[in-house]
Formats: sequence, C-alpha cells, structure tokens
Amino acid sequence: MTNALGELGRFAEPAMYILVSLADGPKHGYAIMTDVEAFSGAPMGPGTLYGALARLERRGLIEALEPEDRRRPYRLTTLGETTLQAQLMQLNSFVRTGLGRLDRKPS
Amino acid sequence: MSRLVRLYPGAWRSRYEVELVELLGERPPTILERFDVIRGAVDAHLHPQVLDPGETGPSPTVTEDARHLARNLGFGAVGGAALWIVAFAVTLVGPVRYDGYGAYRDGSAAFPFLLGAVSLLGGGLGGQLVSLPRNARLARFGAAVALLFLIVWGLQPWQFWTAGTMVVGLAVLAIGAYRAGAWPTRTSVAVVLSCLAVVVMIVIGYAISVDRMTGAALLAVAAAAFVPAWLGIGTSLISPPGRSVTPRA
Repeated sequence: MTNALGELGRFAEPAMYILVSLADGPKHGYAIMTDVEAFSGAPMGPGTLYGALARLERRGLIEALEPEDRRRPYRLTTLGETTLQAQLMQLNSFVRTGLGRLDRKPS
Repeated sequence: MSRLVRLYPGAWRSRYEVELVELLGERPPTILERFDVIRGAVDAHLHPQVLDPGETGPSPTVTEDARHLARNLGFGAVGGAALWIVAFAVTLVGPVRYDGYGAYRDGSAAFPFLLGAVSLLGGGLGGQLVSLPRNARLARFGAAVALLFLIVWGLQPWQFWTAGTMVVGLAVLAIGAYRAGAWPTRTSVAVVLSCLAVVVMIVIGYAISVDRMTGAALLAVAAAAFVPAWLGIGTSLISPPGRSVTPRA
C-alpha cells in the first residue's frame, strides 16, 4: 500500500499533497490547488493537479462526487485514507530519525 | 485557454474538460501554468489514465476462439524457440567444406528446422496482433514491423539488416506491451535485453572483419541471445494478463 504513491513517478508528491488536502473534507480542483499552495508554499499547476487527480481516481484513492455547477468535488476513499495514514506514519518515522540524529550530533 | 485543453486526448476531455476549463476560468493562468497544462496533455497521451470504452482488455472483436488460437500460437512460439536452437546446433556441427574462399560449415541440413522455427515465431507475432489490447498501439506497431521483416528475412536470410529491423520491431513490441500493461515487466525486460544482445552481435559482425568460422560463432551467440525474446513472445500469449489492463503511471 505504501507503494501506491511511489509508483506514480513525478506525480507522487502532488498526489500526496492532494490526499492531505482532502483529508479534512471534499474539495473541488480550484480549492485543492489553493489549499495545497497555502500549506506547502509551492504552487501546483493545473496540468499537474489533474494528472495526479486522474491517477488517484483510477487507483481508487479518491472518488468524484456529483458536480456542483461546473465544479466537481473529490473526496478520499477508505483506501485513500489508509494509504495517506501509512504514508504519513512513514514520513513521521523518517522525520523523528533525522531530528534524533541531529540532536545526538557531537558539536 | 480552452484551446490548450483540446490538446488532451478525447477520453480524458470527456471526463475532466469541464472541470479543468472551469478551474482555468477561476484564475487566469500564468505562463508557467500554461506550460503545465501542455505538459499535462502530453502526459495524458503518453500515460492514459482515462480510456475509451473498450480500450481495456483484448479487442472486443476478438472472440474466445481467437484467444484460444493466440494461446496455441504462444505454445508454437515456445516450441519454435526449441526448433531454433536445434537449427543452429545442426549448423554448428555441419560438415566442413572448402571453396575458393576457404573453409566453411555447411549448414544446409538446418534449413527445414530454421524454416519451421521462423514460421512458428511468425505465428507468435500474429498471435500478439490478435490478442494485444487496443490501447497497446505501440506494441501492435512493433509486432507488425517484426512480422513484416521476419517474412523478408525468411526470404533472404543472408540480409542481416532485415533481421536487425525485425529485432528492433520486437523490442518496440516489448516496450509498448509493457507501457500498456499487457506484459509483465520481467518479460518485457528479457525481450528488450535479448534484442539488444542480437543487435550488438550483428553490429560487431558488420564492424569487424572476421573469418567465416568466427562469423559463424558470432551468429551462434546471436541466435542463442535471441531465444529469451522468442520465449517472451510465446509465454505472454500462453499466460496473458487479466482483462483489466492498467497502463503504467
């Protein structure tokens, strides 16, 4: 499951951002884009956003809801939630290891 | 901006065009974002995530009989690999003869085996054309090129460039089948490496001046290197992936 994002190549990172963005509820494309820019500090282009959305949807990590006007919201699936949790746990362990080693570094 | 969205494949547009155009209308895109959309369109063509109905799995026009035939052709191709080895073994132990240019191995006894082997490989390539999914366009193109040049090479076996072109066609078939998710990775890698080895042998044979005996030895190595490609063609027909074909990311 932890390889679910790794196999996305250059879309792995944008896909992770999208999953994080959807973690607090459904959002449509523009809302995801502005949210990702707000919490990551890096803008995500429309082509990248939809490339990642298509991959996530195809793999069953997110699902599209009924369109509201011409905007279609997306939400995490159960598989998406589990995958995101596993990825974040892995990152958390990585961060703790890195910080722990910096703390133990002789000055 | 909607003109840029038209760069995307039809199937992709029917699913995402409305939302993407809406998104682009909400915030005028910068130059970099326009490039990002173009890049996304190229990616959608190269790695389709949304397929037209009927693009997954074998062509709907392929009947169970045709699939059964393709499987039998796969067994034939594997058998052809064995026949191919026999043909070159017969060539290598053929009687040594002499003519005005020196000594050579008379491999004429191997021709029936060679003909049978090449026919079986041709059958295997035909089976690939029948059974490859619709989205595997590159693979089908490679299979067609390989089949065409296999026939040409069978008619003129001394023309090694035709063999080289056939092998390149096989490599394209393997890469295309991998990209379309129609072949397992290991099969595609084995076939590509095998084809590469054959091309290297042919180039060496052309590039350096060798006597007839060394040339025959190089040919034997090339023939042996070709066996994995042959087996890949056959085994992928015998054990095709399920109907749900997922292109690689």
